[in-house]
Amino acid sequence: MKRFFSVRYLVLVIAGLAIAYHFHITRKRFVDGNAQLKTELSDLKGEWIELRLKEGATAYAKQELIKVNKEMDRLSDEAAQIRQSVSVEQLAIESLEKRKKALFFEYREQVRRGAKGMRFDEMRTPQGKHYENIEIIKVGPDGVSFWHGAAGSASGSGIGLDELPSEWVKRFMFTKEELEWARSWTSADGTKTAYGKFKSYDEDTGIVTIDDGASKLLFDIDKLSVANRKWLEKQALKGKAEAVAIFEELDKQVIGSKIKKGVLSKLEGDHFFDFTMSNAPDYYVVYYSASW
Amino acid sequence: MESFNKKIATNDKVEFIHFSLDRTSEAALKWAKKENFPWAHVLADKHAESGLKKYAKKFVPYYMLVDKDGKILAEGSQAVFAMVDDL
Repeated sequence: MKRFFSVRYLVLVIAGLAIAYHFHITRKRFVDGNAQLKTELSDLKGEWIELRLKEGATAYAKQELIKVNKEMDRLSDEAAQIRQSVSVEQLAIESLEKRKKALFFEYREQVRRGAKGMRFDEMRTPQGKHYENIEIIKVGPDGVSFWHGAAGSASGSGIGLDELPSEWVKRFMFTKEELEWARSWTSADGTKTAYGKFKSYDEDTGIVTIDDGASKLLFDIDKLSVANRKWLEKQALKGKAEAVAIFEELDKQVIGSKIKKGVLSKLEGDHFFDFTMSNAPDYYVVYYSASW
Repeated sequence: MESFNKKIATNDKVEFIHFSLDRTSEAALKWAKKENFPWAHVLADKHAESGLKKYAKKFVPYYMLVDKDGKILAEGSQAVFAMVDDL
């Protein structure tokens, strides 16, 4: 009886201890789990606060962006207004410039008409020709004609634009463009005269090309006046010197050295003609294309 | 043509050259007359001499901006004319 009691008692004690241990472990796990949940909750709270802050910053940035967009719209409107205003101003300036030009031409015409009969004691051209007792006959786009010499033995003469003394250039209002552009081209017999800018002279064919502003005029050099032929000879010599300098430049180039002469063609009227380069460009735009 | 007149015709630093891929000069002339081309052409019989054939592509039209030493600076009409603005 006593033995039975002691074994039973021992079993009960062990069972009690096991139960107590189980409760202890379970409680410990619960406490640990609880602490972990608290930590996670705390972290979540932190993240939530951070998100709210970010949300606030985003909302603020959005508001700022809206403000910036509005400001940009306003500035864009202002820019459009300024552009319009500038455009109006430009039109006004262009109109004034046209008016100024028209008035200049009108005034110049009056000055040149009024020059008829004007007298000068003497005049010397840049080339050294000297005239005395001059009376102006006409001031035209190609030069000035006048009487000169003593009364009773006066003879008529004329000078081209390249012979005008600087005082007459100023007085009769010849512009730089006019001096560079216009030149009279007179036939050898003096019966015909044309005005225009010298374009080219072909030594092989003897053809002189003139641009009269509307079209190209071609003359045989032998049919031009002596003065014109002399001028052309000078130009030809000058042109040769310039051409040599340009060719030297082109020879230094990879591109220019190959195309400077005898390779290029240009349309003149109804035909292609050989085109010789008259300047040494630094760049070339090459356009590869065909009619098909 | 408009780009040529605005940007190249008055610029001494740049020369515009049309490398004609027409097989005959007659075809090139017919087209040039019709459009009144103001620029210089390299016709078929001068392709080899010009030294520009090596830059040609297998398609047309093709624009190229090249410096005097033969270095390609831009290709395609937009890029070429944009760069010509700065020259």
